Formats: sequence, C-alpha cells, structure tokens
Amino acid sequence: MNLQGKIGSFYRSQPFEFFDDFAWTEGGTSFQLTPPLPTLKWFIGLFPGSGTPFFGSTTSTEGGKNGRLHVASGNVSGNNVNVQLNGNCFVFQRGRRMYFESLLRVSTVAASTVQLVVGMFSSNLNHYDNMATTVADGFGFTMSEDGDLEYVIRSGGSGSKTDTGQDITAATDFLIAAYYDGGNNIKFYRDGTLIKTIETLPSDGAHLTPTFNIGTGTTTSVSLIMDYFGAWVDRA
Amino acid sequence: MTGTINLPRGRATGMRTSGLPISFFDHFISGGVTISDAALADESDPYGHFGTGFGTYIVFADTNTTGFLPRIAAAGDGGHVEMKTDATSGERVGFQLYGCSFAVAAKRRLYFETRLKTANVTADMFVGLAFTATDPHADAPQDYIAFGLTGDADIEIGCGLADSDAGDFSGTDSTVDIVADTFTTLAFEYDGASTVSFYVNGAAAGTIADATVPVGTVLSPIFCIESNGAAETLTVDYCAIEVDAG
Repeated sequence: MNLQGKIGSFYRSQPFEFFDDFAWTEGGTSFQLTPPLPTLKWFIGLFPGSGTPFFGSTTSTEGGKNGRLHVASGNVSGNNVNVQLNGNCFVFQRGRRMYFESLLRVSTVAASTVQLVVGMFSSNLNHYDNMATTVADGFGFTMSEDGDLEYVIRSGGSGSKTDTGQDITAATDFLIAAYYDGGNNIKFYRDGTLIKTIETLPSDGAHLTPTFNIGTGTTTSVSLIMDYFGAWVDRA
Repeated sequence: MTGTINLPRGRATGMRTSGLPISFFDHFISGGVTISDAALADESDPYGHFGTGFGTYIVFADTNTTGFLPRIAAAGDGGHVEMKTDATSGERVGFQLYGCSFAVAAKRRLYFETRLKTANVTADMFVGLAFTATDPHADAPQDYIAFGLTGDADIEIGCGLADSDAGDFSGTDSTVDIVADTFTTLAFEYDGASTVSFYVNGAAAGTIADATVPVGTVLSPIFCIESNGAAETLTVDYCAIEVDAG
C-alpha cells in the first residue's frame, strides 16, 4: 500500500483511467448485438442497416492472445460498425491532460476500401460518415479509402483530417496514441514515435469517449482486430 | 505463451503472498447510461453494471416510485453512478458490492476512499464498508466502518461491531459539514491495530479507537441515501479500497 503522502484523498489525485484489453466480454453481453444495447458497456451502431458484421472475441488462431476484439464490416460499400464506450465521461478541458492509446490491425489497406476511425470523440452514431459534419468534438486517427493514416481533430462541429505520411501494413499490428498536454498541444504518435503536434483543440468542456469504427468502401469486408484501448484524463 | 511468468523474486508462491495489497476500484463508467427514470421495472436490467441478476452490485430500495435506482450517469465527468429517492420520508435507495471480501484484520491495513455529493443537506446517508445490509440507517449493519448523514449537514463517522440490534445509525460528528451539490472526498484508514482514522477532503476528521472497531470481520462497500421528506440524489464518482494481503 503506497499512498504517497496523500492519504485521505489519494485516488482523487490520480487521473481517471479506462482500459479494456478485451480479454472477455462480461458474460458475453458487452458486445451483444441484440437489445438492450443501451445497457451495455460499449454502444454499437451498424450502417447502413445491419450489413453482415462479425463482432466478437478473436480465437487463438486469429491472434487473440491476451484478448483481442475482432470487428468486421459487411461486404456492401458503406457498411460500417461504429462502437463507443457508453457514458461520455472523459471531459476535454483546458488544464487537464488526456491520453489514449490503442494497438490494432486492419485486414487490408487496399485503395478505396478501408474506413477507419479510432480516438476520443463526442457521441455520434456513425463517426466515419459524419466526421466532417455532425461529429462535434474529438481527436484521433482515421484511415480514409485512400489507405493513408490520418490524424483528425474536431472542434465545435468543425475540424480537419490530415495525412500523417505514415503507411500501414495489412494484417500487422500498429500502435497509435494521442496526448493532450493540458495546454495548447495535442501530440499524435505512431508506434511510440511523435508524428505530429497540433494546436487546434476540441471545445473546452466537451464530453468525449473512446470510439472506433470500421467499414468498407467496396464489396470487400474489412476486419479490425483491436488488442486494447486505454485512455486517461486528469480529474477536475 | 512462451517463456515463464516472472513472479516476484523469492516470493514465487503466488500474488497474494507477495505482499501486494488487495485492490478494488470502480470509476462507475460502464453499464447502462440511458435507462428510464420512470419505473423500477425499466431499471431491473440483468446485463448492466447494476443488474439485479448478474451485476457487480446488489441494488436495494423500498417502494420508491419517482426516484431511480443506481445507474451510470449519462455524462459524468470521470464516470459517476447516481441514485435518487422520492420526496417521502423513509424512501431509500442504495447498492452494495456482492460478497463481503474486505477483511478488517490485525496487522493488515485497510484504506477506503470515495468521492460523492448529495443534492441537499437534508438526507440520511450511509457510506463505507459494512456487512450486508439493505436499510443501513434504520437498522445499522452488524459490522461497519462508515460515514453518515442524519438529516443535516454534519458528516458523522462511526464504527460498529456485532451491532445488528443497534437500530438507527448514530455516529460522531466529524465537525466537517457537507455542502449541497458539491463533491466531497471521504476516506478512512484502519491501521492494522485498533484505530480507524477518518478524512474529509484530505484533512483529518476524527479517529475511532474503541471496541466498536470491527476487527475480525469481513465487509463490503455500501452506499445508501434516504429521504427525510425531500427528494434526494446521491452521486458517487468512484469507490476505492486497498487492504494488505493476508
């Protein structure tokens, strides 16, 4: 027990953190695709319609060691699966650092195909399709159908996404992370290396939550295999 | 898996004999977030964090009709659980972690910390570690270490040992007041001997070192709010417990 001289208010002094290593799915219900969705840990949207998604834990033959989540889009252009942690409990606020990190892979990087979003974003039912419109706030990474890994920022309903210049290899793990320093900067990392620092920030006080989305722009189903997603933010 | 697990040097007999404390922490971020306020039936969800069937916590209430059972707040900063009574005196709602797993035992320090707020300063509240209970104010649990409110702003501290017939919870005024709708950090530490030290917002708020300290018992975190005639809301940010391994 190491309370570091802060007994009486130790945990209050620690960041609020979330981590899911997808080692299990809480009795099989966390990612259950049938109602009652609102009661689940992760909230799932399927577009358009249901497609034919696969959603579950990977098996050992799919690289499922230590727990991995496997999400696959349907095979109709525009099919995608949108997932957000319920609760919107990460508040982006000046003076409070925020960080997220995820280790993941995608099944293909074929042109015109992959529609990927990973990061901390405000509530939306379809973060890929609505990234340039109704996704109010957030920061993270996207991969548009040209196969480029991009960093994206949303601030009060506007924002941008920019090619990181980083190439992704199909079916190979890559580590992405972003860090808000509590001041004016958000820093984006790929495999532990800083690749971009920006000074555009989400709205002060915006409620964000861990978010990921995988979809296809062709008739090829795309798989996202996520090893883990972790995030933390300084307490108010 | 290749290779071997690296157990602590010289202590390769298991985690719990390595001296690491037993830790429990809940930010209250997962589970239902959009459950209706309208009826308890809507909230008897067997899947969510506060499910009555397979959930982590036991939820209890009386015939509450206009409040709501513990649920994850839709947009709590850092994750919150909230619960509400209606405006009838005696209406109560609360929750307790399944199983009494935290030992108050000699030579094993125990630490409890939570951050919470009440909508008013008129409620009865019982928060801390206790043996199983569903009406902790009117029928104090058999064993407990707790903070309480008894209808005013005074934050009370109390311990109980084999106290099942004690009736109403009655603590000692910590001399610190709770402020309506303002988060307060409550913590206590049992020193592994005979003393429990209480803290409010990080500052010392009294000690108890008498025969009521429930040494030799096993307890579980509990949160309960009860109305004295006004609608009351209890919002909990987190609950954390550490206890030295046996």
